[in-house]
Amino acid sequence: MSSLSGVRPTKGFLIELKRRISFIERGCEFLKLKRDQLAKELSASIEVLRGRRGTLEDQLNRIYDLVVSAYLSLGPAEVGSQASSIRKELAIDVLPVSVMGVLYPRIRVRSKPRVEGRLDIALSRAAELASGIMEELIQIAEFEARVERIADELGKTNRKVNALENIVIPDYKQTMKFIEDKLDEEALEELVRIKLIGGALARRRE
Amino acid sequence: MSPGLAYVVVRCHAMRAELIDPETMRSLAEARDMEEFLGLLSQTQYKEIVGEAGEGVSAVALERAFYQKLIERLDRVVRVAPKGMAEFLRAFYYMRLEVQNLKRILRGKSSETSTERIKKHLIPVAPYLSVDFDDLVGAKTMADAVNLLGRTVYAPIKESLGLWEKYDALWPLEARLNQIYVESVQGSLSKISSEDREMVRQIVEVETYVEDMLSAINWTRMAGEQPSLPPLESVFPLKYGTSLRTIKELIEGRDHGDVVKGLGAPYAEIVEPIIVDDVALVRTNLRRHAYEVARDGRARDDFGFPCVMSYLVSCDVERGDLVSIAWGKEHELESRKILKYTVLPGYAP
Repeated sequence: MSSLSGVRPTKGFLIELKRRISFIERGCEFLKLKRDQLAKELSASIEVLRGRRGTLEDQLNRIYDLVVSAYLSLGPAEVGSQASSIRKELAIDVLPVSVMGVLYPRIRVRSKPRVEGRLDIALSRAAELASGIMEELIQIAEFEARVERIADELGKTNRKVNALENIVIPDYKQTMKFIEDKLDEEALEELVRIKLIGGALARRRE
Repeated sequence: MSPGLAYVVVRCHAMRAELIDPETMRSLAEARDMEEFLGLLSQTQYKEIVGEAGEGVSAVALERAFYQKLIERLDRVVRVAPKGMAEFLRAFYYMRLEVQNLKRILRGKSSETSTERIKKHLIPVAPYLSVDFDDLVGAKTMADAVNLLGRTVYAPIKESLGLWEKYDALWPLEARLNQIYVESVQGSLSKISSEDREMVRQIVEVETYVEDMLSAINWTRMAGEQPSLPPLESVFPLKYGTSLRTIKELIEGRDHGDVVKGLGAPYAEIVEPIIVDDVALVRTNLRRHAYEVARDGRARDDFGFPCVMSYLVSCDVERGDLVSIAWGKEHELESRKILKYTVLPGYAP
């Protein structure tokens, strides 16, 4: 057995192995807790995302319809000219936030474009609606990034737990059993040898 | 010396054959894609434009070419029109295009857009009453551009500069430009006969009235953000007798549906889509109204000014439809959507 090659069947090694397996089992328990917590975070985030995304998609479709009809009635040059009149642009701060060690971006809007008084009515409605959902849109993007990263970390944690539960810990246990068996065998051999020597010495004394 | 009314009427009758008929316009709108649209367009008077543009042409480039075609047709009519009629047509069409360009330049200046980008949005028309567009585009600041206009017929725009600075909004300047245009058209009406004035009034009055209504609705939305807006009369200086009352009602928050129902013909029909927030359809209805007024005028008198006006209105409607269709095809919109915002296909048998 390859995993047993290089194993020193000594009591000291067995004690070291027992210490290690106890540490690994404790780590595995922690990873399981992390996995459960991440799964909980993920399902909560997906719930929020599902609800908000539906509403947002309806609003985005409405905005798209308004922009398309503005293009059809005003022409691309006029729409382009009006769009270029918006001076202030969107400014955001992206900050890292951690959930169970998973980093995801938290976006804070510093300033929004000012559309009032700069656009024709055909475009101003679309711009107002877009401006109204801008923060919601950013929050959705934030949630999507969060869900993506939590799901990624959950997958990694799950693989680690499975590897520990199904490969590492059984391997260690097998090695321990091998050393214990070997030590038992050696102890038995020692006992038999002592008995034999004891018997020989007794026979010589007689 | 101008060859006279008879000549320009005969020219318009002849040039009418170059216009795209409603059936062909419908086929263009129903084309599967841009390629098919360009293929069909190359079978019309626009074949040179399609040939020059080549494959992969953008809707923006086509829009520019369609404007060039309109201006070319306009030039051909104005060149041979009797003096008074030519003066009126210049005020009506060239000034309209010039005002659009001025608005685009001022928008660019207000947001410090690059000169190349501003020029990209301009209609390819020569300055009419304004200073050179290059000088305006090259002005360092918005105030410099407005000061340059101070030496022209657009000088009253300087009065609105304070409102622009105070509210950081373009609408006071644009409203002033609209006002100068309408006043100029009203002034030039004396150049045409009293019977012909009625037809022009039906087009300009309805358009101004409806545009004022749309601005008023836009205003009510802005008012939520800026409660200290200037007095209504300073922005809507009562271009036509009845408009201010309706505008007041809209600004004071009366239900749009009630206001529209109370307007009567032809306004109620044109403005009706505002109830469902479809401003683009209001503008399409306005173009349809102008087309019908011109068509009715021509039916009454096919050998005078109405024939000339009808030809030019048809040219402008054709341009508008082609721009919409080209943009729609470029963005793979459904034909149904394009047809909704075009005028001519609605008259196809």
